[in-house]
Amino acid sequence: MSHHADYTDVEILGMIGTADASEVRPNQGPIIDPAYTARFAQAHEAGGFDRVLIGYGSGWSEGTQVAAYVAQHTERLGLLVAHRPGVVFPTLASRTFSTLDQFSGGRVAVHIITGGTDSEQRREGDYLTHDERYARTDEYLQILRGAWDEPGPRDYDGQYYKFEGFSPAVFPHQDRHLDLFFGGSSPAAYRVGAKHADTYMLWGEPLKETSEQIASVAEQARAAGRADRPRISVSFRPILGRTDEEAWERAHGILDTINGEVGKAFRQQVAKLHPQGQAPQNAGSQRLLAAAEKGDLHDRCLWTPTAKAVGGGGNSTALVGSPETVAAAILDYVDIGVNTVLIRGYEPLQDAIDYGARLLPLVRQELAHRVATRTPVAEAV
Amino acid sequence: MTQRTPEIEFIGITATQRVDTATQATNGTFGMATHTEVGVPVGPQVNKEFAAELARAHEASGFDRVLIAHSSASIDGFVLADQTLEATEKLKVLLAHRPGFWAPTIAARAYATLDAFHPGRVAMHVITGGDDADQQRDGDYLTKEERYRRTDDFLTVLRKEWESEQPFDHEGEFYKVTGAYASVRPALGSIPIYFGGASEDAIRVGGKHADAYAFWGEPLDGIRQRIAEVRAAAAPYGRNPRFSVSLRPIVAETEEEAWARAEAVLAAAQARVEANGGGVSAFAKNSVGSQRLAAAAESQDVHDKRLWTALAKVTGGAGNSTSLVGTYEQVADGLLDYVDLGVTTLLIRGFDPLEDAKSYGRVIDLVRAGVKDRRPALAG
Repeated sequence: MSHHADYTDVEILGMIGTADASEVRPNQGPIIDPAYTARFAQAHEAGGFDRVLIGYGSGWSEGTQVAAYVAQHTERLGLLVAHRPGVVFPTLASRTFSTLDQFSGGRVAVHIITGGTDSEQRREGDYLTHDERYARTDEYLQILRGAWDEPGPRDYDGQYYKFEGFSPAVFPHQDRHLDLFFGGSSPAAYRVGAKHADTYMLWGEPLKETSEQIASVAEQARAAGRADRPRISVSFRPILGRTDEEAWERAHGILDTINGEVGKAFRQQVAKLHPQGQAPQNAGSQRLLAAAEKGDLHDRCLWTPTAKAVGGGGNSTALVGSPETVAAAILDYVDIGVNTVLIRGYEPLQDAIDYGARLLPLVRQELAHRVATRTPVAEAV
Repeated sequence: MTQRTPEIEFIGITATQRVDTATQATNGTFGMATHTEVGVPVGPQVNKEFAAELARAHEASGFDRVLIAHSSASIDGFVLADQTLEATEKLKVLLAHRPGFWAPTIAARAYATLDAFHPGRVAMHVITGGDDADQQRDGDYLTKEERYRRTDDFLTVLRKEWESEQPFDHEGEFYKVTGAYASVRPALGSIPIYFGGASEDAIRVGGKHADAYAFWGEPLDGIRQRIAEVRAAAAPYGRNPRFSVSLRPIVAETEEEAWARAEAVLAAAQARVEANGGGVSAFAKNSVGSQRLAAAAESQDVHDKRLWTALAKVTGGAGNSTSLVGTYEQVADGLLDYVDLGVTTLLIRGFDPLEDAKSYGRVIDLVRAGVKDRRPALAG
């Protein structure tokens, strides 16, 4: 099982939404602004991002529709659509993603989020327990994978799903392998995700904790009989400045805004959908808060007060510094075995433009340098 | 309260695969294509350019909307809807949905999201499903009666997800949610719900929820009866749905040519059914709508002035399979006879998807002109 760094195939992901909104930018317009959505995606494409994530929430815009729209307004940008098993039957979901892949010319991947918060699940009628949900995801992904990869009629008789005579009529573009991404940081998540995922997604914890999670995923992949572990992705919220000092000034301004009136409005709006004021149920958020408890600054420039300010909700830890500093921090993660990095900012559109202009070229350049100067010894380990 | 009389609406149908109707060969392995009984599918099953060309042909002919159909063997309709709307300027879609496979909350948000990107151009066609075997392919084992009760529950939650100002709870026979609340809403406040189904259960549930009720093309007397039934079922809920009739017009410059074409369609469909082992599908056996079409076909081949039902006899009445046959003027006149009964939506699709979508433009113009003469109130 290879745990060492691979500099040859590092993927950079961004994330889009359908309105100009973030923790520090209260949404002034409609929930879905088509022109903004297209511009946001095009900024990622122009900036050299490989893919963008489209999120999932019980009250949000429906992601496959957002992806369908974005595919028509971009040329090559990959689309990573978050999807929660349990709200749609798997045979239908397989057709949705195959159809989207056909019409987009092979640009789709699916990010499986099983759900870590009971109250959020119940908003869509899902009353299973956490571990039951992951057991259902296990069946769900067997069915999805089969529907994409194998033609002909089939039956299925599992604990959560049963059907007879389903025969897929549409397959991914040119019969390609459609990638599954997977999120979750609980033991049940590692077990199921390591079995099915092409890429396993983590939130941005310090290097040591990230290494621990990579080891857990790798161990479960071995247990599932896989020859290699899934690729690993880590998500951050970079805060860039022209210099480190300028970046830190910006970072503290963002934190003040989150903790102030603007952030309060954001938190109240989010509270309609996500419970606040109680400890998070999901392991990923618990882990971010645990890291934040140990200190504000970790490793080269990982900053966790922003995560603490939003109760560990979602991808919320920052990398703060000049483009050179943040690029070096991203390479630190590649050094410990990370294959994919997801970055999104607090000023969503402007940050995506800045990342593309100032950060990604440095990351790509350093990766190319390491590939060119790599000694063969590393591969012999 | 004065109610504005709705204008006549024409609906066509989308497809994603080209069909070759020139060759007489039948394709035994493919089975009966969902979009035509005649001809052989050619090229990729998902042909983006063809889908766009067909959508634009409908728009150019004056269609208001196109139906995006659904079965266990179809591609995903939401994605095709987005493609169709993006390829056209004003054309709307009628996106079919089978309750039971998507949680009603996410179905509501998917329709609302599509509608937000294409404001006011999306409608939902609720088909509860008449064929147990096709339901089971996707994992649904309810009986037909249970399915209609579920559709009722589904549409109740769907509307709350579209409309509720506050997080809501729901506890029905099939669906239970706690604290549901959507931030995404239909762009113009609501999305019209069309509803199909000819059984008593269908009419009971459809009467409660439908903005438009869709029938297959029965003879005029049958449609008159169906309209009365739905109106009676809708009245207790204060609803007054519009009515849609689906037909497969066969038009030509002369009546003789049209009938010759009808005979050719029948021969090709017969050959297709025989090549596939013959027999009537399970769907046709279970569906009240199909039984009605087949029963009409049993008594005679031509009803009223020119409603031709011979094809329904061959297929067992599976799907929209009855035709008005004649010249452009005659077919338009036949459609106006349905308008006279209170039908304001006409779903017409042919046997050669692209060519018929183009040729129907003349029929559409004639019907709209005829409405002005015969029923001035409807012309808006």
